[in-house]
Amino acid sequence: MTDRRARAAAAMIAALALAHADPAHAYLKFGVRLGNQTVTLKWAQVPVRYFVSTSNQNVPGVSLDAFQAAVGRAFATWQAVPTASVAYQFAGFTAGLPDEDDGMSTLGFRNRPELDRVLAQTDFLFDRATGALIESDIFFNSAFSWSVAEAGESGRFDLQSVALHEIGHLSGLGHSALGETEPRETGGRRVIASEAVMFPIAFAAGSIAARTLKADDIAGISDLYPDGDFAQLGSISGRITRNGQPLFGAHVVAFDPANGSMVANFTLNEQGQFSIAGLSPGPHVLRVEPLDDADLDSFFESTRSVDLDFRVTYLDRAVIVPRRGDSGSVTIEVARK
Amino acid sequence: MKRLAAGSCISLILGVAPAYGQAASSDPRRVEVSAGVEWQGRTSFGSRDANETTGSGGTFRLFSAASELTSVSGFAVRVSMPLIRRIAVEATGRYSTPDISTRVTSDVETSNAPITAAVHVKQFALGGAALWYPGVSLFGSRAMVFVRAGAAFDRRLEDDGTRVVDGTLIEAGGGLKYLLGSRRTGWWRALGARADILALARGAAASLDGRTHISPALGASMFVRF
Repeated sequence: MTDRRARAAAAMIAALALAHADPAHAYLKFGVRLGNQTVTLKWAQVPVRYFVSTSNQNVPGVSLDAFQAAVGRAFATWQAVPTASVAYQFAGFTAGLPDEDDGMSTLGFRNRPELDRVLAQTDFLFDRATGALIESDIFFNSAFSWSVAEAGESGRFDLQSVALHEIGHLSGLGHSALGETEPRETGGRRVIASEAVMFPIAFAAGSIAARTLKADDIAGISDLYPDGDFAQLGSISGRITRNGQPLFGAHVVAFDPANGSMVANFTLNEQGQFSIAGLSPGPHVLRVEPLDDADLDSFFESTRSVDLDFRVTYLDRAVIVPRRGDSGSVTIEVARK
Repeated sequence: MKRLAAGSCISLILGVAPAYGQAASSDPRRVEVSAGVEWQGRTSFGSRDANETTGSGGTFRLFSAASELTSVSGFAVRVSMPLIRRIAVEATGRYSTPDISTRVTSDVETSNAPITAAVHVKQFALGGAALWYPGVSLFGSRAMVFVRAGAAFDRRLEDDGTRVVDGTLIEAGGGLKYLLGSRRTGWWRALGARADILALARGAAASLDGRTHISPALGASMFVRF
């Protein structure tokens, strides 16, 4: 069994997410390429049992109980998605640390000051043959200041918000690109706004705006663990081209004018194909944009060439999403900047 | 010259009409069939912004979108049968092919907007209505005013049936029937023209925003009474 296991950190696993050869997936899910095949990482059995580490808990303002309560609220938020079957169960406290291959999915603090831009990180142990997750640990970097206050605290990062993002990874979701950023003078990027908890860059300290799942997050977790009325929803598939040639890594947003929601995905193969699932039946507007609001390695492995030289483009017709079906392939031609 | 010819034609049609002493639609024994065109005004589904959430919990507008069911001219067929004095019942069928259109504006990242993304739909409605003739006649009793109210089953096939949307259509309004000619024998007994002005209320199920919307409609048709 051991030789079938593999471990990867979230930042690196996200890079593996592009490995989908089959575009008939919604959202950005973690996947690993095994030979010519790609398998999606997900839990084969739910509820997912998790432990809270009692080690390294000397973080100012965050007691062990408050930590457990905050991550519990984050787990409950994912579990409450009515169209997804994923479930989680608090299994108890452990003296073990996150990032230990002990068969227990553990959440806790670790002091990693050298990771000066990493608030938290999720890593996995999974079965190489099936993609089934075996263990997933989350560490929160205690080199930063943290808050578990209901209304948040100025200058401290909201533990519940960051936990919500990391639990998305723990469940098998990659990063979303539904967000806008601008470069900081000191390096890195500042988030102006985002519409997905799974956007790879956190809001500034003090914000509690990322405690609520958005349509894109809900579509993603529901696509991984479909349940309830998810089967009643539909999808849009198609391809993105420039001068007739397929584009890899283009970000495609489906906007629902009925409710203002946005769900997005990327072109994920050499044919420039994309698929966006979990969409409400009805007309949608498609918008294509280059992936220029976060580091590319937040989404794709660094060896892949992602083309950013094209303008934001709308499809000049609305696309009808059928109930329990796909729109049929649409092609959007984009132009160089 | 053309105007003169057209005027002559109308005079001819009106000229064949004999004196029409009886009210145009008060004959309780006659079934009436009308067919014609109907223009339906646009139905606005309002605007929605594509909002993202800021760190303070506020909104950041990526772009704006306003959607509507475009105005359209279609066909309408009605079969009416007088029920009691001054009241008739009517079966109605409608067909039209408007667009569902979304206009995108104010995209913060591109000057490519505004753009309009539209999709073609086919719209059918089958229903019934009641007509009341208040006894107001015009043009020497050739024309009768009526008031009309009804309901219909409304089906919309979006993008050639990729999606089917069913709803209800409530209509209210009135109009005028003008008798062009009549006779006492033969398979038809009367010919005329009809004009309708209506308010159409499409139910929430057939709208994009889950609300009922009212749009105007104007109809012009010819009728035959048997």
